[in-house]
Amino acid sequence: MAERLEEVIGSVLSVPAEALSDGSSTENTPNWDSLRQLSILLALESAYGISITTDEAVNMNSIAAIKVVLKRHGVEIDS
Amino acid sequence: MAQNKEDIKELIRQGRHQQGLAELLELVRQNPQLYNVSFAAQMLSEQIDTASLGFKPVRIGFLRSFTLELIEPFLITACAQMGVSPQLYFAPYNVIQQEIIDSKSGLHRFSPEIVIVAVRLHELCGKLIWEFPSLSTKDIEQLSQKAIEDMGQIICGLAQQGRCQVIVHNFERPWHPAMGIIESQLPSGQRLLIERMNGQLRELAQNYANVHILDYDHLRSRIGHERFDDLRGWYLGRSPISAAGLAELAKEYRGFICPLSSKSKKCLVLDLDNTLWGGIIGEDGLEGIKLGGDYPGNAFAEFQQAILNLYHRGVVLAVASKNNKADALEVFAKHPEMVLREEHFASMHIDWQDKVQSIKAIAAELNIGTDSMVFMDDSDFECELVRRELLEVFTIKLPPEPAKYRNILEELNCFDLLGYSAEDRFRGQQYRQQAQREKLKSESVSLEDFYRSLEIKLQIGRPHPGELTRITQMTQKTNQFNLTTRRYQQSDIKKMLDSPGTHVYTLHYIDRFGEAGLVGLAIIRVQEKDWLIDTFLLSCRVIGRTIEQTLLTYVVRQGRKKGAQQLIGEYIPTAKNGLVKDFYPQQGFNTIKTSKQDGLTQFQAKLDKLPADYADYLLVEEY
Repeated sequence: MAERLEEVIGSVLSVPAEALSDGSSTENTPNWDSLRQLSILLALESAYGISITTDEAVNMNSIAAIKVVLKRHGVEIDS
Repeated sequence: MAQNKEDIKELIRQGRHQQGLAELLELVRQNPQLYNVSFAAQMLSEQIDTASLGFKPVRIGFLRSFTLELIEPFLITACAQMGVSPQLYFAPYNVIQQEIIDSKSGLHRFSPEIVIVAVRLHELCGKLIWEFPSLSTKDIEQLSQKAIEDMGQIICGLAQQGRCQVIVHNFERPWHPAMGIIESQLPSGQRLLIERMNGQLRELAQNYANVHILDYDHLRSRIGHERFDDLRGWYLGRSPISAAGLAELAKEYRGFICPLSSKSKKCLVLDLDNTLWGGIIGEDGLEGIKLGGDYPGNAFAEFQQAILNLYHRGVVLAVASKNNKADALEVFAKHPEMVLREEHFASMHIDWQDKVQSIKAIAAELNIGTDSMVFMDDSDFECELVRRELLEVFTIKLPPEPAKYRNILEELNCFDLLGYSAEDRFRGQQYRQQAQREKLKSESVSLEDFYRSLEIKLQIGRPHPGELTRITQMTQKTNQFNLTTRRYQQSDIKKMLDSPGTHVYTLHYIDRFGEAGLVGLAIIRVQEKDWLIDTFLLSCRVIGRTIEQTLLTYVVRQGRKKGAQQLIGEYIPTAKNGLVKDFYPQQGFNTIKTSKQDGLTQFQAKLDKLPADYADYLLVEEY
């Protein structure tokens, strides 16, 4: 059973999972700076056992964008 | 233990910080993924009252030439396992000299107790890394000299302030040497150059008692470049280390932080059976245990040698084992393959009391804190008990394969010393922390709760058809928890099973960790209204968990059902079964007589006076 995406990202950003939604991004979410962006990348890889490429990572600036990438890697995210 | 994040949050909300911490550390131990580590770090920084749990706070400042902040959750969690709570300051990216020289810098205002200098040659003198093949010998000499001078100024600037300890990364040698395969023959190759520069760094550090070199180059090789480096992190955010690499680097930092905070471990407490040798001395005897020779004996011998090496490095050794003292000491005295001898141990607690008491007693005897101890045992049960009651002890459960033991021991850096002893003000704090620990005792979990958490299920009843061999074996091999040590052949047991005048009951044990199988046996001889307990034994694997009471309760219930009025118990003393001498009196029996010849003692109890209910912390299935 995959961990909930909002839980994983919330853990990294020190933000409650409930406060996150598809629209959450580097523009509007507290703590989500470029440094945390890297942390999120590593956390997603370890949580879902996938390998994200550098090119994919550059565009993963919002939860919606992250979901697209995860889906492409075959990860099932309950919306 | 519930390792659910919600449960952990709830425990903290209720103020049960010690238990919350124990479960948190267990969560990370079972599943050291980054999102668990992040969660743990957040709980430790914001929710858990680490001060009241006796944690030593320490301020660590980082001067670095690359992005290193991602190590924060790994470092906080790794330090938590050793009772240290670090506060971290990261100087701005690649701002090093200014932070040291300017007395109003962030570093100065933070007033760190430890400063970590993580500078790579890539940033300090990039040409030596990126453009090596284009450099002339003169260029190389000038550049490397300048780099060492810069490092000298950094080290000197920090060391002379005297107030902090300094840990300096040495330079990493690149994955692919710049000149290719000819490097190993070229005196002016890149790898050799960096090796020489690291030698110079070492010499610089030796000038100051408070400067220590962290062999970053070796760490990177040990983990393996592929696992350690993260090129994406480098290109996206100048963070060249992978999550796995950060976890290892955090442990390496902790290896320095602990001795510098007076939190290094001083004492290794060891179990005996299946830890120092294969098998169980009380059951297998001197001839039967595995030590030396082929596998697994050779693995145990090497493990003992590794322990002996720690002894020679100044680590104090102790034993906490559930055994007959004479049996265990015989191995130390007589077994030709023993590497460790009695004289290597400062304290030995070999008896039947629970290991938490033994460990506390050892600490009291040696006048050290339990937080300076490491405990190693192959038993899930013992390790979990010690973790629950003595969280400050660093407990390591050995895996099922003895082949892995030596490496697990040699990997530990918690005994490492730096030759610099911490200031007295740290030592004074230890007494205060101990007093705070005493206050927390009211919060510790009862033994019953602990047993409940094991999810023990017992199945008791008449034997299954295929168990004849196993039952016979148990009567022949069980020595310690055996009230009468009557040895039977298969034909004897078969006769008993078929006779209406005898009852044979077997007990099977399962808990959260797995099945221990058939571990208990009771043989009853019916003498009108009296039930004589001819045989009552328990496998040593499950001694000490009140299982014996449960088997007796089953006998009581059966007796009542079948109209018996009295139970007669017998104890025949042997060299090995001293631990059950008082079993029947403890269960409420009266002593009837003792024979002078063989010391056989008989006990009696009325069935309606004995308890007939099972404890509520285990599940019993009668069949």
